[in-house]
Amino acid sequence: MRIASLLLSLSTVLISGTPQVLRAQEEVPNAAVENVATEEVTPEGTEEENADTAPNDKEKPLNLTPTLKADASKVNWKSPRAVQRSAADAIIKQMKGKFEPARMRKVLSNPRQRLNVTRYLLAEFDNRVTTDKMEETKQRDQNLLQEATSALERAKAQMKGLKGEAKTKQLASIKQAERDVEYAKRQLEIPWKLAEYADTKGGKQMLSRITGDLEWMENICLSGECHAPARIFGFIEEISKEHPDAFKNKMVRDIITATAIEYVRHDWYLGKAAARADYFIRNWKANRLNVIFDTLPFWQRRVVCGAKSTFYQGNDSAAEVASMEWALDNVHLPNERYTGCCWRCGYKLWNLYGESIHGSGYREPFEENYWNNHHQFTLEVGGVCGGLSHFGAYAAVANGIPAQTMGEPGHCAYTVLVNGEWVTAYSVFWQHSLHAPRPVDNMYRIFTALAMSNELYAVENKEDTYSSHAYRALALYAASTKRHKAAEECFQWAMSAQPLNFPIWREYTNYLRETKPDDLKRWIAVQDNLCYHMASRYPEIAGIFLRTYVYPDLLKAKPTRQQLLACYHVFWDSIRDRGPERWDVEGMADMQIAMLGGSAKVPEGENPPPPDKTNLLSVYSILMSNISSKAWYTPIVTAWANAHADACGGSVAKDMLAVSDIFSSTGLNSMEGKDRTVINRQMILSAEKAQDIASFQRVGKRAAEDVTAPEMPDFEGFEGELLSEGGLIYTSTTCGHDDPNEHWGLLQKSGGRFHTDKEENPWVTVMLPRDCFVSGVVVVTTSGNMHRMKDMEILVSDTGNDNSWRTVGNVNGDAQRVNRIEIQETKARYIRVRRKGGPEYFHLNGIYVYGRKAA
Amino acid sequence: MKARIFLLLSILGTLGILMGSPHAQAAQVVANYAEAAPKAGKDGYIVFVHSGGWDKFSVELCNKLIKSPAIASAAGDAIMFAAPFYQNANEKQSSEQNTAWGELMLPHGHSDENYPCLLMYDKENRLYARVQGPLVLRGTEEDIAAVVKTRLDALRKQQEIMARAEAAHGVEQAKLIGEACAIPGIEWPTDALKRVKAADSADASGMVRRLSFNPWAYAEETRTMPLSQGLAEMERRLADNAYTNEQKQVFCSIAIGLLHRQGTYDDWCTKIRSYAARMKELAPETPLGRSADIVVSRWGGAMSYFSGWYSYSIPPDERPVEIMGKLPFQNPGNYQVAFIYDGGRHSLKIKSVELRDGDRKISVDAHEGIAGRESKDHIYTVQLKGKPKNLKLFVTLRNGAEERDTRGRIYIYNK
Repeated sequence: MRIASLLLSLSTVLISGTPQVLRAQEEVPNAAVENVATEEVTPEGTEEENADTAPNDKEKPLNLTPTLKADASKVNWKSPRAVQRSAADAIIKQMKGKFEPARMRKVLSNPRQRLNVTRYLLAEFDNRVTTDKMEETKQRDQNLLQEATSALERAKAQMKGLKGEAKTKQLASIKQAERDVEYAKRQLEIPWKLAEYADTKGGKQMLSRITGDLEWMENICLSGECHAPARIFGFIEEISKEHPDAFKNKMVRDIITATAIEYVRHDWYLGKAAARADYFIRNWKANRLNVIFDTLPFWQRRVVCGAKSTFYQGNDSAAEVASMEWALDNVHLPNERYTGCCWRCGYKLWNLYGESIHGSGYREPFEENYWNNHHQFTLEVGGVCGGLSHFGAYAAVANGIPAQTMGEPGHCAYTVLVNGEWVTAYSVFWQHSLHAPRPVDNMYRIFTALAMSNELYAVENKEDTYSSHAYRALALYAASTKRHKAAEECFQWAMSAQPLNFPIWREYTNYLRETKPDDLKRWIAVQDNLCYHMASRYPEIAGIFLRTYVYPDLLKAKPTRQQLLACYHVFWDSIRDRGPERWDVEGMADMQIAMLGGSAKVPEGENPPPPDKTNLLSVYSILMSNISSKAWYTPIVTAWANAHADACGGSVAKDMLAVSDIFSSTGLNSMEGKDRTVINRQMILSAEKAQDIASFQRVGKRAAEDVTAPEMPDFEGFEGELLSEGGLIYTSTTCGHDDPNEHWGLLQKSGGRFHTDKEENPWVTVMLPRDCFVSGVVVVTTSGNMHRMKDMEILVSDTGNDNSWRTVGNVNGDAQRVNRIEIQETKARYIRVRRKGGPEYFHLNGIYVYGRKAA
Repeated sequence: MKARIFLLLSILGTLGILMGSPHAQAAQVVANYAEAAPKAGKDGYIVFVHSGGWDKFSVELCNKLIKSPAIASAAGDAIMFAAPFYQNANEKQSSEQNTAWGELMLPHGHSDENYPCLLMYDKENRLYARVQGPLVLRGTEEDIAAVVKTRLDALRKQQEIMARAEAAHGVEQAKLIGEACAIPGIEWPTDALKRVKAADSADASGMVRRLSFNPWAYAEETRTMPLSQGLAEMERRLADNAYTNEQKQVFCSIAIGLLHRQGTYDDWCTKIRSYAARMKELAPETPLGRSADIVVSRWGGAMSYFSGWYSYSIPPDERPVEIMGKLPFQNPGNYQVAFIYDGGRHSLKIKSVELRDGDRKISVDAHEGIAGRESKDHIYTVQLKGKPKNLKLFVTLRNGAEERDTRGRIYIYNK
């Protein structure tokens, strides 16, 4: 209801039009007019370019035209603010007082106006470079030059007396050291601000070249975060000296630009940027890369070319050129195979000297033989999750395929772009945190930001995204000139034109914080808007954004309890599905409880205090009322609620059960009655379907208290660990004889049960908590109907996908009560016991998988 | 007369062909597995696997290599065909791929193939060798052919040994299977370990322990053994000729690791160096073989001109420490030896530097110097005279066992 009224009010304002809220420069007092004269030929352009009909994109490509090129040389970047004003005024003039999206699209059909959008933003990014940042990095660059110079002196000093191969090697080291000194000098000289850069020898020309090229500007300004454009241009200039065809060859230009943007963004070293760009240019020209590289959207090319680097020295980065060259030669695979290639290395916690990977002794005996070649080191010497994930991710990157490593709790995994989708690899948990923020800074290290970026930068969304950037530029301009009503409206247009353009949300909340920190209504409106636009499909990003940028300020604006609860209701109601991945539902709910208690922080630590019971029940009620029918969420919420109920003790559990009872009878079709076991059954099946091990374990363990365990025989396991206890099971079918409350027990020594329907080849699958090397399986049948359990086969898979199963063992003929199947050690995450033939029912009392962990 | 000579030559020529190498028939090229299978003999198949288009060079490269006379000649009687291995294969591509590969198993997710590659299969569809990587990318056809020939010869040898193994029993059979597994460059015969266990359950041949040896699991298992027990165990295994040289290297590395963690400085100077030398001699080109010199310089109670000094270089007392490695002393004259500190809680406290010819001192610079955060008098001068035959450089330190946390570099240059 609240959302609908918000939209209605917004559309009313826009339809009636706010007369002339944004006017061109001449109406703003005291505006510097320095650049107006130089731009006088350009703002309106030719009649043809400003025709009211949108040009056909296929007939009129939106990039460099002679007119734009000529313009660019006249733009005075010594005054970026003036360039901003000029650009913004030019757009405003073309809008002719109408700011609705249709008008904006028409205006943006003119390449000149698009260029104005990018120029505005370029100057904006330049404005954001702070003096502190400049000072800090200047000092760092000076230290870098000193270090490089010392290294060169040392290298030269070691030349004396050397002959033959030693001399050749040392000469190569000296050459590298000289190169490092040269780059360090250049890096120190590159300015941080456009005004300063425009004054340098090559700066004016580069600025003219780049800022007159629409596509180039779009790549720099509209493909993700853009830090310190002057520095980016300086890096492009320096790297292009070794690749002069950068100005004629689009791919060379794009590689250099992508590399420059990322290296500046992360404060990495120019010398390494040059080496990285050179690597990709050389190998692209030599046709060595995967063809995927040729058609990557620019933001993904940034992921590839800007793959993690070390600042200056570093001998274990998989993204060093030596390592990538090796991977290009030795790990050249079809795209989808990079998710499994890490396993050719094997998980080795100890090296052959018995030294642990956690100590220096692991590398010491070997590193001089593998300097800067992480890939070969990991393959021949060893590694654990970090080494293997870097092997896999950067083997893909070396071949031109976007990939990156990411952290999970106590683990390192990675992700690879496969067939246009980001696929996790060597992943053990659902909590992922990208090692490098892509493509947005700060808290967007979350994996789902990649999926959202796929959509944001998709070709079919280009027009909407462009419109949102144009409105963004106008909003920032209006804000900077204190025209707050116009700023507010342009921000709203920007956010609704392309809701996934998340930097705009961030800029808007910053703007609110500065101008209207106590405006509760607006904070609630931005909350609601974000929920409406983003939470439906990207709940994780919406949730994290709210927690980071909205809730703290919302709380400061002193909402009532009812207003907060209404906000929560809007959020959970907006969710349609889980989004690209399992996300921190629990954390979001905990934050909401904390806010009801007046704090924007969730209590942390090993044993945080239990939540306030009233607040817990309020949030739980909202959760259940909105998502109890969404099967994916129900087991998560129930498990979360159970954990809190346990912590709170007393009557809370009973109260929460009462809440569950209410919703179970309305929200869950297959249930009858108000029995807890009935609720748990559904939760467990949902957890199995979602392969949510944590929820399966929590709900399953609790559910097992209400059922009777079967009588179990003694049995001997296999060497190694019992791997399956903490996992999850799911079956080919269920039926009336099946009680999911018994499923958890199947993996425990105490025993449990499942019962499929009567079908061909029924099966049960165990999903292990992590990848493991499996060497034995014990299957305990039920004590009755033994004829149903015959001709069983054991299959394993890494992914559980349909075509990925391989047979590793059999129980031929009639089964015994206890069946021990030894397996030639193999890596797997999923183990399936399948009863061949049928149609028949299938049921067991226990499945126990033995081996050792691989992660 | 001429006719008779001609007839004689023709007969001799024909006889020559008939009596020539049993593998005189060159490899055949066919379209796919279905065509290959009926023709395949003992030399099996060679599949030239290319991308099918996800890169820009491998299709052309494979097409070129499959037509290479050198490779065809090296491939014996193998039947050769090209096959794609697509990326994100659609239905049509999957079908095409399956047709090409036939009954041969497609590489699975973790396998070691790298594309383009030549996959070599025996007649029973067992993958026994791969030719891939820089050799295929940049090698000449002759280079590639040479490797193909080596692999094929290895297969033939393995087949011959396995034929004898089939006819043998017990320990003899186990030994033959072990021998077949020891042929370098190709995979073991199918179920080799299982067959060895079945033939020789008591492991009298030693082949069970050889084939089931897992070096990493063993290194993990033995890493906390008490030193004397561990060394005794490694010596016992080193003396057991059931193990290959590469496996024996692991026993050396485990011994070195035990000494490194539990030994004294004297152990490092003597025993680590001894095991490292043995390890290197056993198989110099393996990763362990190539690590031997590094391990001596890092853990062997020595300093190294190449790597400098580490905490393990510091002796517990003031005995001279050798600076190992190829030293840059050339012509007679004065040389400076500089100690450059890189890190650690402690400075390097130097007492003297000596140049020796064997045991004979040639030149000494004895003064107290410190290489640390604040270095002082850390450069020493020695004089090279004549042409010594066994030049060595030693440094005497004042650190002692309590001040070992230090590392740095050593520079030597003509003054």
